[in-house]
Amino acid sequence: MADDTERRPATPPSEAPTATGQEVPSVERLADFDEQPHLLEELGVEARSQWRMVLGRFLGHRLAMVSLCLLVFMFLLSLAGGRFWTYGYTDRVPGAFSQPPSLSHPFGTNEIGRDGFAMVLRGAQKSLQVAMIVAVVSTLIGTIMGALAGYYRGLLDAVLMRVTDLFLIFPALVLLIVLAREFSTQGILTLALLISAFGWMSLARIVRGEFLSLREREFVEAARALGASDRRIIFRHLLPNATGPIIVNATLLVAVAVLIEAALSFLGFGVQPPDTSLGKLVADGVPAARTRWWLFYLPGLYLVVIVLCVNFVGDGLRDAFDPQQQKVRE
Amino acid sequence: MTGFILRRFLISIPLVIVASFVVFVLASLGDPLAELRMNPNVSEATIRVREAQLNLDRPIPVRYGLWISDAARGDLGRSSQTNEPVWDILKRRIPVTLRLVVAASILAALIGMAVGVVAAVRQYSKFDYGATFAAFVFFSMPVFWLAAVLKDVGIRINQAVGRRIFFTVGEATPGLDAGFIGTWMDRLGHMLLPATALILIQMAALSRFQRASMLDVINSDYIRTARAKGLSEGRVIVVHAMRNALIPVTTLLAIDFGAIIGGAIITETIFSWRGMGVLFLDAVAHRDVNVIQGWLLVTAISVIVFNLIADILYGVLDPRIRRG
Repeated sequence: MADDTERRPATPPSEAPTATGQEVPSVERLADFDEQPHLLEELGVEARSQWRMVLGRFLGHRLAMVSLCLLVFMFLLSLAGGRFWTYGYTDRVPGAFSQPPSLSHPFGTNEIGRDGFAMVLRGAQKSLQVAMIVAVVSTLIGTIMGALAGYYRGLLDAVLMRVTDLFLIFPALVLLIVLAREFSTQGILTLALLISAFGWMSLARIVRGEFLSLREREFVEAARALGASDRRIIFRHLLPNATGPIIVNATLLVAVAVLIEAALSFLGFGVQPPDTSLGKLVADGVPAARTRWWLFYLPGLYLVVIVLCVNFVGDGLRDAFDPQQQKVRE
Repeated sequence: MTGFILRRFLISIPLVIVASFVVFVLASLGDPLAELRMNPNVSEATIRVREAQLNLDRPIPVRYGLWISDAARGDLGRSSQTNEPVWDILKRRIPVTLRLVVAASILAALIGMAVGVVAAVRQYSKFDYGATFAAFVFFSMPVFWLAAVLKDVGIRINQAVGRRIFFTVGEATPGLDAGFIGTWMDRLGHMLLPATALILIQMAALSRFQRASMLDVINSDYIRTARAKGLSEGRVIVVHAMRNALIPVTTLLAIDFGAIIGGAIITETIFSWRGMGVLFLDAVAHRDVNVIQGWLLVTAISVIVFNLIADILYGVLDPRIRRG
């Protein structure tokens, strides 16, 4: 996750093709287009905002779009599907113990006659809930830490970054095991918050890096010269320019959170019964892998497909926000 | 260069101290006497005596001071489950996990770098697409699931063939007496499946990172210069491009060391290895505070040392870092 962010070229997109021999529009004319959009219309050019361009690039990313559609479908299925499915996740189907997949039970049944598909729907719902909370909370923490460190620099920066280093010393899973042992019985929200506490570090570093380079740019200097407050500079000028990496990171956090929750549930420190999650279902299926394969392989595949789709969407977003990363060799 | 190494070394000392304090506080979160307190047959006085023995009646900073001064002399206390000195347990468990982690990291690094370089050189080829897709699939998988799948497949193959090809339980055959080579062959055999699980997942991230780093270099000006002066393509790629493209990956290797430890804990559980992972889970489940503290301390120090090595290596490989 922390990958290639450090090496991202800091060239602003505005200073791209000047060497092509075309006439460079002067500042006055650019301002004209801004104030009088009809000038552009007369030229037959549609004004394209940065967001429009990002959206356009994302829509053109085939794999990411397919993944997004599949993801939305699975999302809706796990949120609402349980209501329409024949069996509830706690129903015990009489006489249907440990049955392999069939038309009436596409994911089979377990040893006490619960329908595998109903359990997977319920599990996915809980897993996604945890993942969403983690993505939002970690993103908030990471953005705030990174923004403060990058904008104010100096002592605050040093302190915040040492704290970040400290969090990175221990493997997150190890710390989560110790903490979850004490707190995971308190429900899904607590678990999600615990995971969030260890998901913000790479984003903090990314945002700090962005802020360090953005704060030296002319438009920030201009804003400061106009008397803008720190708050205004951070929220109006710096954050909007750093949204790309933040959104990409938040997406990838969803994937990481699903995986971490699964690992914790496997070790017995994650979601506790009667709650369930995809990770817990797969974990429960591990001992049954050889005798009742459907209890292990089907929830596992469902989980892998969800995480895979999230990762593909994240990758598509990365390309859409930062086309410079996609280097094409001639 | 010596100055650079010394600076890096000095930075990590306060890190070790702070980390050890965090370790202590974390491990003290749980009450090691919780089970004793629940027991109606244990009198209040007995619990007091135990509290005093474990120094539980003193404030945390004092307890930390006592613990760290003992730890510095190699005394990490005794396990509350077996009464064995923690350091003795760790000495027995560390080599088991270490050989899995080291073998897996080295192989993952070599394969991941090779795949990344080839994928970058042949960008948008079938190999590139295949490697990219495989990488995405593997880092979308829970480690325990992949490990359990490999174990299941191993068992099925063993059954189909009718004899044992893959070892699926334990880290070595118990009571084996086969000399030095025989013992290590047996250990390697047991390592095959767990290491494969770790390698596949580790390799995924590494190959993506290596590919990006290689693309960066290939598109740089000095590579164009190298081509322009008529060097062979092989020489350009191997001597000029690869040498520089390998540098950033060393950092990732060090950062990932923590992730590998997490993965090793899980893999060991699946394949029932008696290594650090199972030791830790056992200790957490039984609130064996001394073992948890000792375990965390050893892990934290090894991660810090690993980062230090990577930092120094980075400086050796890239002069811009040590002058900067």
